[in-house]
Amino acid sequence: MLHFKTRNFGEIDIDEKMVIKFDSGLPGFSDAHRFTIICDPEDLDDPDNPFCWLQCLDDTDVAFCMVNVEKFMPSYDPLVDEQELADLGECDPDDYQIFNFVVIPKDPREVTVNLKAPVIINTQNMTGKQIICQNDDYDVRHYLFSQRGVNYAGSDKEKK
Amino acid sequence: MLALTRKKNESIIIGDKIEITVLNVQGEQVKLGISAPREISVHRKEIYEQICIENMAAAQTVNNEGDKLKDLYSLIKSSQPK
Repeated sequence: MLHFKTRNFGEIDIDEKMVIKFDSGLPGFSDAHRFTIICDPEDLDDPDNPFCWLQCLDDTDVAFCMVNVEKFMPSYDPLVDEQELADLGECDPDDYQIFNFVVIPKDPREVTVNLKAPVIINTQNMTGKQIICQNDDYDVRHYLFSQRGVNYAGSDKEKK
Repeated sequence: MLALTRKKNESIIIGDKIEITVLNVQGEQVKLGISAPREISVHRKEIYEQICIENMAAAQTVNNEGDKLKDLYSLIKSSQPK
């Protein structure tokens, strides 16, 4: 068991098997390579709680609130470059988990989710990566509770 | 910033493992080919910066705001038509 003192969750014990390796870090957090997912005691599939946390183990002050977007948008289907996905190693399609980072402002009803850059986790080998998807119509800042979305400036039409 | 002038099909090598090649030049557009090790991500700058900004904002969230969200989600679910 690994022991950590975190800003958000106090002292926690994590089984090594629950450590997810982000070899590329995250945009803006390039030195953050080890993470774990923290859910409330309820099961992640509990319909009342689509949210969980990605806790960084290299810098325990860093944690991201994530959401399972499919519970809000069953049609969410990010198009991801094959090469980027291959970086996570082999995985059965059903063993990928997709989460999206959430930004919670003062008024939680204004919460936004980053649809453009999902976090994809290979649960077979416990590796993860935040991958920028190719969809033009997914925002970095999509209002979770309304139809509004904020497009980022510039559109990404060329393939790699 | 180092400035180098390259023609089509010429390359730049960064360190040992990163190579950038000018694949095509058409008017104002330059098509670049990049080879880099898998742990180094390569993105258009403007989208990458946008993701960085959003990630920084997302990392500002603290746990009790997550709880507010859970309550909100429950409210929404319970008010949705079955």
